[in-house]
This record gives sequence, C-alpha cells and structure tokens, in this order.
Amino acid sequence: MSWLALFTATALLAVLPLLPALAECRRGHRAPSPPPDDGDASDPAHTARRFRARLALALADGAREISAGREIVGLPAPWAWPLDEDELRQQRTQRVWHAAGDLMLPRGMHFEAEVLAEGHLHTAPHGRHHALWAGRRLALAERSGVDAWAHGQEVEAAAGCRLRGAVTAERRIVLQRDVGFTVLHAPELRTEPAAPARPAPPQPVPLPEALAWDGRTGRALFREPLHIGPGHEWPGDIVSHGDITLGAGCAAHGSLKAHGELRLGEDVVVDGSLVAEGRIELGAGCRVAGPVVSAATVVLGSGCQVGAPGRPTTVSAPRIELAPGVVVHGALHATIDGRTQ
Amino acid sequence: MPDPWRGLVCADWPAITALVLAEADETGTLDTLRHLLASDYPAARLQLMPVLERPAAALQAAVAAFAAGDAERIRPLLRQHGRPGKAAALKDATLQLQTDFFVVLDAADRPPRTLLRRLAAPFFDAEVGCVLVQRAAPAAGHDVAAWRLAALQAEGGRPEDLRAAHWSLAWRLWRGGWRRVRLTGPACPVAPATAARPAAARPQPLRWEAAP
Repeated sequence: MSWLALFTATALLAVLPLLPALAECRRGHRAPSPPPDDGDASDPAHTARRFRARLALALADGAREISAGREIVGLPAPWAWPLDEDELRQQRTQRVWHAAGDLMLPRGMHFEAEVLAEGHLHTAPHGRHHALWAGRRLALAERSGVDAWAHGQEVEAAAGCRLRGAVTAERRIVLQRDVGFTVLHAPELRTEPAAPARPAPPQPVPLPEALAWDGRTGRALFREPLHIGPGHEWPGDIVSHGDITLGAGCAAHGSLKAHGELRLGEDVVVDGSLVAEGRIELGAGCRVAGPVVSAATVVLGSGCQVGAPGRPTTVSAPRIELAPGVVVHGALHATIDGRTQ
Repeated sequence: MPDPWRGLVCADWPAITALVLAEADETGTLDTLRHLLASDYPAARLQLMPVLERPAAALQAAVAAFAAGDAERIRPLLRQHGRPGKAAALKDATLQLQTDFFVVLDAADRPPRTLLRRLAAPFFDAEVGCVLVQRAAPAAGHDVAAWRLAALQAEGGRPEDLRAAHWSLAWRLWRGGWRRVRLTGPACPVAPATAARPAAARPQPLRWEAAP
C-alpha cells in the first residue's frame, strides 16, 4: 500500500503547479494580443502618424515607392481608380493609395497596404483594409474591417465593422451597433444611438453605518463581499476581498477595488478608479472619472460616461461591452474582444 | 493574469516625485535627471529630487547648476549632517515629499521614457502600495521601485538603518494589507559600468539601499 500512497502523492505534486493553467483553460481565455511597444505606449496613433510623415517625405522627394518597395499611387479624383488587370482579377491590391482630396473606395477590393486621403475617406461595405488615414472624416461602411490601424479627424464605424487594429481620431469616434474593436483612442468615443436623457438622481446621503476607515490612508479594507444600499455617499477608497455591489444613486468620492466582481447600480458616480479581478458592470447613467480596469470583462450600461472632456482616461480589460449611448473620453483597450451591443 | 496596466494609455496621472540617489559621478547623475525630464510623464505632475548624501564638491555644484535651470521641478536634497548612509538619506527625502507617490532610482539608471507611466499606472488600484521593477539581469544590483507614501507611512515609514532591499519593505506593506506589483522585463536599463562608475569611485554595494 505504501507504494500506492507514494505514487499518489507524487502525482498530486506534479499536477499542483498546473492548476492555475488548467483553471485558465476552463475559463476559456485566449492569449491576449501583444501589448503595444514603448513607442505606442502613450500614443496609440503613433504608427499612423509615423506612416503619414514618412509618406509626406517620400512625396516631397518625388519618390514613387515607400518601404518594402511598395508603389505609391496618386489618385486624381475620388472615383478614378487605375487598378490593373491583376488587381481587378484578384480583387486585391498591395499598392499604397494616396489622394490629395476626398476618396471613395471601390466595392469588392481588399486593400492590403495603406490608403490615405487628405480629405474625407469613405470605405465600401464589406471592404477589408490594412490601414486607413483620413485628413478629415473617415467613414467605415457596414461590415468593413481594419487590420492594422485607422486614423482620422473623426471616425465613424457603421454596424458590423470589425476593427482589429488601433483606431484613433483627433476629435471623435462614433460606433454603431455590433462593432468589434480592440484599441480605440480619441477625445470622445461614443456609441449610437444616443441614450435618452435621465432624470437627476436624488442627492446621496452619508453612509449611516461607520465603515472601517483607516484615517492615515483614507481607505476601508473588507475581507468579505460588500454591499452598499442605494443613495449613499462616502469619502475615500474601498477595497474588498470579495465582490462590491453599490445601489443606485451612490456617490463614491474615491476609488473602488474588488477581488471579485464590481457591480454598480444606475446613476452611480465615482470620482476615482474602478479596478476588479472579476467582471465590472456599470448600470445605466453611471459616471466614472478615473480608469476602469478589469482582468475579465467590463460592461458599460446605456448612457454611462467615463472620463470627462479635457480629462481623458482608459477602460482596459480582456473583454469590453458597450451599450448604446455610452461616452468614453480617452481610450478603450480590449486585449481579446471589444464589442458594441 | 497579464499586466492589465500596459493598456492604460491615458489617465489623470498622479503627481509623483523621482528620488535620484546621486553618487560621485556627476556626469551619470545629470544624465539620469535628463532621462527623467525627457520621459513621457506629464511635466506638471513630475518632480525630481536628487538626493546628495555628503557629496563631492563637483557633484554638488553640477546638480545645483542643473537644478537652477528648472527650479520648479528639480529640488535637490543636500545631506551633510545626521546619520550617514543611503537608507537614512532616503528616509529624510520621504519626509520632504510633496506628492502622494514617489519613485526611487539610482544615478546609474537610465530610465526609458515610458518607465514613469508604467510605475504610476498600478497606483490607480487602491490596494497597491508599491511597484517593483524586476530586472532581466538580477546581477545588475539594485532595483527600481515606486511607493505610495500613505501606505509606507501607515506601516511605519522608511527605517533609516534598513539593511535590506525594496522587497523587504514591500513585504511589510503586504502584511499591512497592501498589494505589491512586479513589472518584469528590462524596463530600466543600467548604464555601462565604465560610464557610471569611474575607477576612483567607491564600489556600489550589491543592494544600494543597504547602509554603508
């Protein structure tokens, strides 16, 4: 019997280090996308700006090719496309296209290199694109896709678009229903249709029960799940080793951290950040000033606002879901899958 | 869990102070300060405090001249009295901080421009007390670390006779309910020994935080 006990103990010891990996497999997490390099760390539009600058230099020098020997084609008019026979037959082009004015991309083509327009740029429905740059408005038609990056003064993504690369804008990005994304960055990110105006919630009152505040650090630490009823406010940070649930109309003048899930009712206001190892779910009409970071999923309800004009912030999680009427000032970073409802 | 803070590209970044332990080499010290000023951290939220522990006259003069060029952001701390040693100097420095967070670097460090953001980002988690940079090559000697001042003070502050590295302080914070975050990778390369350590300079202890 002793050899059986020894064998069992050895097998258990061998399996023990694999438990976290097995748990991860059970949850079905995929490997996250590689993080941006240091050049991209503070400016997701870095790649787009760099390519635009390189193209401007090449055009100023009268060059007809850009890196990797790719031909640059200047377009005289938005509708005149000098595609050659091979490109028309294969329905794909590897040339770099550039227009001094507006540009409308033809249907049924796969653009495997960059397309730039100094004016407006409109893609065709179901089009596939490596990279797009517009000096003014970039309109992505229904079910079109971006593989590497896209940048414009304003970017509009119609229903069903798949934005696999970083999409950035100088002013605003507007997303319709069922748009997939990974990295979005703009002073204003908005999902449509806009949410109806909500009545102002009643003024919150201070918490009646005394939380275990640490006066030196201004935070309260809970070893168990925490539930706070509706309509309360408090100063300072809250950390819970379990879930945190806030009722409607609460006002947190600090940050929240949950080892489990973080659920906010309707019209909750948070001055600081939201961080959770589990899912973060915001009810309709919530407003958060700081970053929203989850190791699992972030769900922003209808009419939520994250960040503020002139005070951008970031929503970061493997998965992000946005309801209609959400406004985020700053960046959305979904390492696995971001989606509008 | 992958580093969730890499995706934090914009935020209302907190004010931080970078403490630079200046050594005998004024060229290396000024180079470190220049690297910090060239970082992508918002200029209005960054203060530099070169900590001069009984410095040579040339180093003191060089840092003073450099600081005069940006007196709002660079405030050197000169220690000529009190208990000697880097640990005691760091304790004095933390007592004079005007920001809620601080980073400790050595004059031999050449921080890349994104390092301060990477160190500051985890502090948006209200549970994080310190952020440690784990080097690719531990033999490089010291580590770089960022601290939440309130957490450090709540756990007794920096001891002035600490003969240990950052991780032991981090352990104290962890016992007090604070989390530590480790950043991996060569995030903060050390300058070549020939550039940072002139032959005449006293050799650096293995752990720079150790008292002499």
